[in-house]
Amino acid sequence: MRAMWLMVTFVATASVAGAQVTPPTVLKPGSTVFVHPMTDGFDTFFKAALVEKKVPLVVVDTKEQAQFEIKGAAETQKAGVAKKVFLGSWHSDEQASISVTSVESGEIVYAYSTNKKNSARGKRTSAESCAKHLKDAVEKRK
Amino acid sequence: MVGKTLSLSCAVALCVTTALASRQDQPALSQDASAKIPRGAKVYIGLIEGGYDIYLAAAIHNKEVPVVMVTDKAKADFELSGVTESEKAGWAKIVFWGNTSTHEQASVKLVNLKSGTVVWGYNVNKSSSARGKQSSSEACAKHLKERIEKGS
Repeated sequence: MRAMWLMVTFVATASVAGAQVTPPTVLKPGSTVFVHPMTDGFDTFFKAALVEKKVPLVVVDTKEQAQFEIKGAAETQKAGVAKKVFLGSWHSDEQASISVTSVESGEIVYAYSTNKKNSARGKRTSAESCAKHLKDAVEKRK
Repeated sequence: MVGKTLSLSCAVALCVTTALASRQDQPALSQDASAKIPRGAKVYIGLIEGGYDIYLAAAIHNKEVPVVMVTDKAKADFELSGVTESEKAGWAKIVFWGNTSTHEQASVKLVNLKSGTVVWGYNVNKSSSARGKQSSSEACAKHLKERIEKGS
């Protein structure tokens, strides 16, 4: 009986120790993030959007201080003459994509892409869309 | 006339020989379409022109593909790589069709890093892509998910 209890204790300890080796990488409110430079200065729009949308993350200047890093790509297609004349639309088409990676484990924990046709406020719209969805993801995991 | 034909034949033969020789120089990737891609496999997405790798990461996340994406190739079991091309709508398409959507095409392949075999590949072509790169990347992710869930 004693031997069985010892065995159960050993197995339980081993499983707890195993679980501690690989802690889950979760994007929590207050996590520090480093935003990498992106094409066409989209990182600046994105940082502004993080503030505007009150995303509960702390943006830091260096990757060493950060728990997560954000990489992204963005593309703007300005309205051409044909679109302006025949469709009467001056607005640009915007597409952007971001990914959030845990610095410690190297896992991509969140990613999002957006595509806005006739974007009312250009890059600002796509950046705010990314920030809004990132906020939803962070708050869901509170 | 005979001389001309002979020299033309020689030139063609030389071209074919050179092409075959250059093909043999390239390291050939073997293919194993029946190989299993296990759920929870660690996938590294290689850099793709125009940041398409980030669109693929977003699509994999959005479509809930049962893999773990990592940014360190050394920690990965598989590598996802690809090429992509976007073509903006020209004036004729805008004027006559009233369509400003882009033409997207992409091709991706998944390689088992241990065995070096291509275990999955997919091509997508969207002539009027509603959401640009997002559409094509999500098509790739959807089919990757199907492949993983089907087993082999």
